[in-house]
Amino acid sequence: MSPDRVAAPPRLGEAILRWTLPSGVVGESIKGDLDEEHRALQRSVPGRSFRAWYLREALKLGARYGLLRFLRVRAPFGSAPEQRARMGTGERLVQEVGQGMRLLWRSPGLALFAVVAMGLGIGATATMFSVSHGLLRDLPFEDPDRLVYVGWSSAARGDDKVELTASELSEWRHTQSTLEALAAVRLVSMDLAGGEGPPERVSGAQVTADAFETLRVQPAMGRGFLPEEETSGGPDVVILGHGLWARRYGGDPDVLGRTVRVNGKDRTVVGIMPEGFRFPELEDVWTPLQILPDSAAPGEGARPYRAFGRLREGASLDEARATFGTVARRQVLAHPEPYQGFTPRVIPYYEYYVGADAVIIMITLVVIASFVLLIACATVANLLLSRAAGRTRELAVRSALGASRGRIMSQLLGESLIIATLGGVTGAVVAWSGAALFHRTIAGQLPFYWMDCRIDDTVLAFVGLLVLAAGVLAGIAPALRVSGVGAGEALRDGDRGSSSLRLGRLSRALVVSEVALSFGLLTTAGMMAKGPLIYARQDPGFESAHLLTALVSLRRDEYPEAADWNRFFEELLARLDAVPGVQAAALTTSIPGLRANTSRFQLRGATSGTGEDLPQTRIGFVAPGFFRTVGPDAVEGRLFNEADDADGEPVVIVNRSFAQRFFPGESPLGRQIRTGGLESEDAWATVVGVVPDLRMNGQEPGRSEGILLPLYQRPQRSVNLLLRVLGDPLELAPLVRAAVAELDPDLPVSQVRTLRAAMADETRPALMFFTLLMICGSIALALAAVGLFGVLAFSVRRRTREIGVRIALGAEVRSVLWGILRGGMAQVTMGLVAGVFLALALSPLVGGLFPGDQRVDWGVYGMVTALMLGTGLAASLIPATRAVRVDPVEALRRE
Amino acid sequence: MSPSSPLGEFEQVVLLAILRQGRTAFGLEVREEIERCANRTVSRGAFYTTLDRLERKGYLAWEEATSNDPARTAPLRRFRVTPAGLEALRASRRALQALWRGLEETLEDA
Repeated sequence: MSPDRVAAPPRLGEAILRWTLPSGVVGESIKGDLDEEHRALQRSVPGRSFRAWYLREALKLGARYGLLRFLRVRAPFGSAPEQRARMGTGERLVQEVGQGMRLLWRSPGLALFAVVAMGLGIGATATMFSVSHGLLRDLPFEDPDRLVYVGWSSAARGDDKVELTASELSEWRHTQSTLEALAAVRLVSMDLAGGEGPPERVSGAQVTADAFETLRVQPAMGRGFLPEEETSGGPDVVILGHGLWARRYGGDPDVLGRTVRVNGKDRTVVGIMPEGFRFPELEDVWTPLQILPDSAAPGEGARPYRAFGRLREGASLDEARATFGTVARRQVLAHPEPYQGFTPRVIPYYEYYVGADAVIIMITLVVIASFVLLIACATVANLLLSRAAGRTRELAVRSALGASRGRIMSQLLGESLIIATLGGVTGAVVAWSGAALFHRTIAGQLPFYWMDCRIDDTVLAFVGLLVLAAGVLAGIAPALRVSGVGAGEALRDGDRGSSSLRLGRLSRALVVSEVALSFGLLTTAGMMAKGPLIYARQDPGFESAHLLTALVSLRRDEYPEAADWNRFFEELLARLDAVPGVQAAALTTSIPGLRANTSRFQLRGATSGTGEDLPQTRIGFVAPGFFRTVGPDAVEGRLFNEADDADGEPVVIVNRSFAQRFFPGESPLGRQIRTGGLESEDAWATVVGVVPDLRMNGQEPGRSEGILLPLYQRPQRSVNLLLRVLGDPLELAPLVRAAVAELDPDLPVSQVRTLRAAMADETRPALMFFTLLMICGSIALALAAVGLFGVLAFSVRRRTREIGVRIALGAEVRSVLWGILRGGMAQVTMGLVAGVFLALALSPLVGGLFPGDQRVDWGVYGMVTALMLGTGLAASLIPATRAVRVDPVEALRRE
Repeated sequence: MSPSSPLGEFEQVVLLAILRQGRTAFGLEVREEIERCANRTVSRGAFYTTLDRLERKGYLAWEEATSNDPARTAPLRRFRVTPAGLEALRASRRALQALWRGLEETLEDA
C-alpha cells in the first residue's frame, strides 16, 4: 500500500476530538499529531486500518480534555484569562451551576435547611394557588364564556342577583333574539321514595327543556327533556344524576323507564346525566320546569327563576345587554312602581356563579401563603449572607485578580437559584399533597361542583415563577452586599474578613421582618380560631352527649294546612317517646348549640321609628318536651306545658341574655313581645319564663339573645327531632326512621347525626382555615427562630476575640451573656412592633371570611407576643452560652 | 504566575525533551523523544495537558508551523522553552544537585 492510500481516520473519532479538544491551532495540531501517528501505523503494518486504535486514542484524549474542561470550573480564576474571556454565556452558566452545586455539597446541613425552607414556602404558596385555581377555573361547559346569566339588579334591595318572575321569564323567552334560547332553572328539594331504599331528600333542580342543550351537555344514558314535558299535564319524567344513580340504584341501566316517586309524584326515569354533572350547584335530580303563570301583578310575586342562555353565533355580550335592556325597559315603563330601582343585568354566567367575593378570598389566601415564602426567602438570604461573609476574603482576592463584580454576583445568585429550584421540587410535592387534602375536605361542600384542586400545567408554571422569584429574592441581597465590598478593605481586615461586610444590619433587618410576618400570621390565625376553639371547649350549658338530631320537612302538597303539621308532629312525638332507648324526645326548629334563625321583634310599650331599627333576636319554636330533653330548668318563671297549645294564651320564654339586655334590672315576666316587623300580624306573646342561653348563637361570638315560642301555637313545616337516648345515639337512627315511616312512608328523614357531630360540623370550615394559617404561621416562626439563631451565632463567632479579651480583663459572665441576649431580644422586639401593624392590617381581611367578632383581641396578641419572645429567647440562648464559654487564652491565640 | 512555581517531574521531562529537539520540537517529535530517552510510554492526554499547563505557567511558548511532509496538512506547533522555563529548569537542577551531593557512592550504578 502506498503512503498516499492510507485509510482516513474513523469519523466518530474525529467527531469526539472536535467536541473535546480546544478550538484553534492547539486542538488542530493535537489532532494532526494523532492523524500522523495513525498514518505511520498503517504504513508500518500494511493492510490494517487501525480504526479501533484511533477511536481508543481519541476517546482517551477526549475524556482527558472533557474532564479538564469540567475541572477547570473548580478553579475559574486559575485558568488563563484569555480563555475565560472567550467563554460564552452558556458555558458560564454551566460553570456557575456546577460550582454552586459543589459549594452546597460542601455544607449539606445548610443546603438541606435552605431547600426545606424554600420547599415549605413554595409549597404553601403553590397549595393556595392550586386551591384558588381549582375553585376559580372555567365552567365545565363547551365555550363557557358564551354562557350568560339574565336577571335584575335592584338598587332598592341592594341585591344584584334578583331572579325572574314567571311572567317575566315567559315573556323574555319569546321576545329575546340574541341568545340561542333563554333557559331557566329553579332549585327545589326533592324527596325520593320507592322500593329501592329508604325515602331520601336530595337537592334537585327544575330545568327548561332547552337547558342541557344550552350548556351543551347530553345525558350519558337516555335522553334530555322534551318541550312537551314543560307544559303542565305533560308526561311526568325525571333525570337522575350519575352519583345518585350509582349510589341509590346500584348503577343499574334498567332504571331507565322505571318509575320513581319524586315529591310524592310518580315520575318515569328518562335519562342519567354524565358523571360530575351537578348543574347548577350540587344537584342530583332534574325534573322539567313548568312555568306556571302566577296571579301576581306584573313585577311582583315570587322570583324563583334563574335565567341563562348561550349567545347566538356572532352575537356579543353588549348586543345581548342591549336587547334585554329594551325588553326590560318596556316592562319598567309600564309598571314603574314595582320596578323602582330595577335594572336588567346580563353578565357572563361565570361572573354570576363565582362572584367577586370568592376571588377576593382566594387572592387573600394566596397572599397570606406567599408571606411564608417571603420569610423563607429572608431566611435563606440570611444563611447565604452569613456564609458569604466567611468568604469575603476569598471573594476579594478573586475580585483583585480581575473577576468582575457581575461574575461574583452571578455566582452567588446561581447558588440561591439552585436552592430555589430544589425547593421548588419539594414545594411541588408539598402542594400536590396539600391540594389533594383540600380537595378531599372541601369537595362536595361548595357549589362549585366542577372545582378540581390539583397540580396542573398552570400550577407548575406558577411554581416555576416562584422558583425564579424566590431564587433572585434570596440571592440578590447577599450578592449585592458581598460583591460591593472593596477588595482592599476586605484584605486589610484582620478579623477573618467579615466585619467589613457590615453583615449585621441587613441580617438583623431580615430577622426583624421574619418576626413581624410570623406575628401577623399567628395573630390572624389566633383571632380566627378563637371563636371555634372557645365554642368547642366551652360548656354549652347543657349535656350535649347522648343527643340525636334529625330533620323532617313536610311537603306543601300533602300537608297544606298548619293544623296538618301540628297533627303530624304531635303523633310523631308520641311515637318517638315510645321508642325503646329514648329517654326524652323533643321537637324544635332550633337545635341548642347551633346557630338559630333570627327575627326582628317589638316590645310592647317601647317606641320604634321606622322598623329598620327594630332589635333582632334568635328565635326557636319548641314543643313542650324540649326542656325535659335538653335539660335546663327555668331561671325564673315557668317552662312550657301541655296547656300552651294552639288554643292557649300566646306565651314566650326568653333566655338569660335576652332578659339582661332588654329588661336590665327588672323581671321580664308578664312583658309582651311580638315577632316580625312593624306591620307584623303575629300575636303579642306574654313572657312566662327565663331559661339559660342554650347557646342559640352557635359559634358566633356575642348576639346570644334568644326567645322560644311554643311550636303548637306557631306551627312549622320543617322541624328537628331531638332525642336524649341511652348509649350510642346513632344506633337509634333506624328506629327513628321507622317511626317516621309508619306515619308517612315517603317522608325522608335527613341530617341524622349526634348533636356533638352537628356542633363539630359548625366549626369545621373555620378550623380548616385556622389550621392552614397555623401551619403557615408556625413555619414562619420556626424560620424566624433559625434566622435569629444564625445571626447571633455568627456574631458570637465573629466577636470571639473581643469577648475573650473582655473575659480576660475580668468582665462578668452575666454582662457578656446579657450583651448577646439583648441583641437578640432587640430584634425580636422590633419585629413585634412591626408585626402589630401588619396584624392590624391583616386581621379584618381574614376575619371578614367568617362571621364573628373582628375586633382586635389583645389577649390573642399577648399570647402570640409571649410565644415569640419565648422562641426568641431560646434562639438567643445557645449562642449566648457559647459566648460565655469562650476560653480567653484560646481566643487571644487566634489570628 | 510566579516563577518560583516548582516544576513537576514530568514537566521537567517535557521541557528537556523540547530543548533536545531544538528546531523540530513539534508535538509528535517531542513525545517520541521522551519515549526514546526516558524509555517509557507517554499518555497522549497527559502529554498535551502538560504542555498546556507549562504554557500557562509561562515556561514554554509555541509558534505555528507547517510540516515538510505533504501528507501532514494539519498545522503543527513548534515549542520552545522560554527564559522563565530555562530558569525553572536550572533551579530544579540546582536543587537536585544539592541533594545528590555526597550520595554518589550510595547511588552509583553498579
